Order: sequence, then C-alpha cells, then structure tokens
Amino acid sequence: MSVPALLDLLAPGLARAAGPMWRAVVTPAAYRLWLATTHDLTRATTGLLEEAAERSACLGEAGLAAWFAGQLDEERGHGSWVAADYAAAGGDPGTLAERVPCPATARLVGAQHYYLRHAHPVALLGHIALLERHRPGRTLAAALARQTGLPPGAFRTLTGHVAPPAGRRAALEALLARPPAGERGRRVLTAGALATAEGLVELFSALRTELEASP
Amino acid sequence: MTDRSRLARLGLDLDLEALGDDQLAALDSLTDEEIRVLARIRRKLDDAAGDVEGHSLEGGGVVW
Repeated sequence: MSVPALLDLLAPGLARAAGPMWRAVVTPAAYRLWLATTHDLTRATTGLLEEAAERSACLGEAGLAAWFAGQLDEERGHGSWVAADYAAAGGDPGTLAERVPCPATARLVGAQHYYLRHAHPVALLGHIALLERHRPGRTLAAALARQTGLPPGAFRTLTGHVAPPAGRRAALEALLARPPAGERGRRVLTAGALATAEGLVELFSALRTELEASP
Repeated sequence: MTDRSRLARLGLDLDLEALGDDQLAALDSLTDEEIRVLARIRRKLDDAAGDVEGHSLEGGGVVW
C-alpha cells in the first residue's frame, strides 16, 4: 500500500483548483485577505503539532513524536512572516488576532483536531504530507507582485515556503512509507489526508468568492 | 489488477491508463468508503478548477 502514491494522485487536481483563487488576488486588499486567512490557519499549527507530539509520545510512537517535534521547530517564526507581509501590503498586523476565521478555515483545521484526539495522531502526518506536495512554486510570488503592484518584500511568507527544509521531506516520506499502528494507522493517515484535500478545495472556493468581492 | 468496475460503481472516474503502478496499487488498497470520499473530492476539485485548464497561475500552491 502506498499512501504517497495516493497523495500524488490528488496533487495535480489541487494545483488546478487553487488557480482560480490565485487569479483573484489582483489588488493589495485581496492579498491582505489571503494573508489574513493564512494567519488564521498558521496560528493553529503550533498547537496541533504540540498536541500531536505529546499524544504520539503517550502512544509509544517515538519516531512520530520526534518528527512532529522537529516540525514544530521548523514552523517557529512563520507567523512573523505573515505579519510582516501584511504590514508591507498596507495592513495593520495588530488586527489579525481579532479576526473571526471563516467556517471553511475552521473545518480544515478542526478535522485534524478531531482525528488527533479521537483516532490517532498519524492523521496529522497525512495533512502535512498533502500540503508538502502543494508548496508554492518559485514563480508564484513574482506573479502576485505583478498582479497586485506590491513590492517583492511583501511575499516573504510565500518565498519562504518554496523549498522544503533539508532532510525534513525525506524523514516524512520514510514515515509515510511505514506508518505506525498497522492497517488502522494507514486508514487514519489516509483519512487525515483526504479530509485536508476536501477542506482545501472548500477553502479555495470560499476564499475565491471573498477575494473577488474585495476592493 | 485494478478492478475498474469497482471504481466506476463507487463513482471514481479516472483514466487508469495514465496512472503508474504505485497509484493503481494505492487505489486497490482503499476501502469502498475511501474510494467514495476520493471520488467526491475529485468532483469538487474539478468544479473548483473550472473549464480553464492550463490557465492556473504557474507554480500555485499554499503555505498552510
């Protein structure tokens, strides 16, 4: 059984589905809305990873716990990229924490909380693995700078995520190739990835509608 | 060998000839429920992408 092959099967469709969302980012206000949504999502990442590492350790899954702990180190500081980009795009980062995230955002993140607490933390590995296959391309930030008229310095969040950190991807793929908890672990891992794919496409559509309505 | 009739019965419409051995094996290993979910997601992806294939922003991705 190959979970990576299933993830690869979904990746092209996700890239196509993201296209209309990105094409709607044509003004600084629209880009700020995208950044605000990114803030809503990334603020939840630290808590998810901390809980996943803790629960994995409790289950005796040392390799999984170590990978989540390493990912936690990797994610530190990314929130400050979003805030800096938001300011560079003309926004006040101090307002981000007061936002009420949209339901599609809550569903995308909330599914992972559910699987983590009521199934197995390996679900979060499926979530992250799918996102790893959907990193921003090298030309995306420049394309958005042209579309919005904003300076290149307003896209640190995107440029900082183009390349995976050295060694992290290989360690992730090794865990995917032999997920813990046997067949149940395989099914939870798959469920985590499928929930993320469905959550992403719903968020793409919801955000596209909001972006097209922004000034 | 991938059971095409099973996939079709569960609503998954794929060009199996375009898939590699690993992907076919991955499909074979999925439960009926997982296939149904995958089929539903693919329909949503197609709807979200629209009819402008090839016009997506090059290198589009997310950081979430």
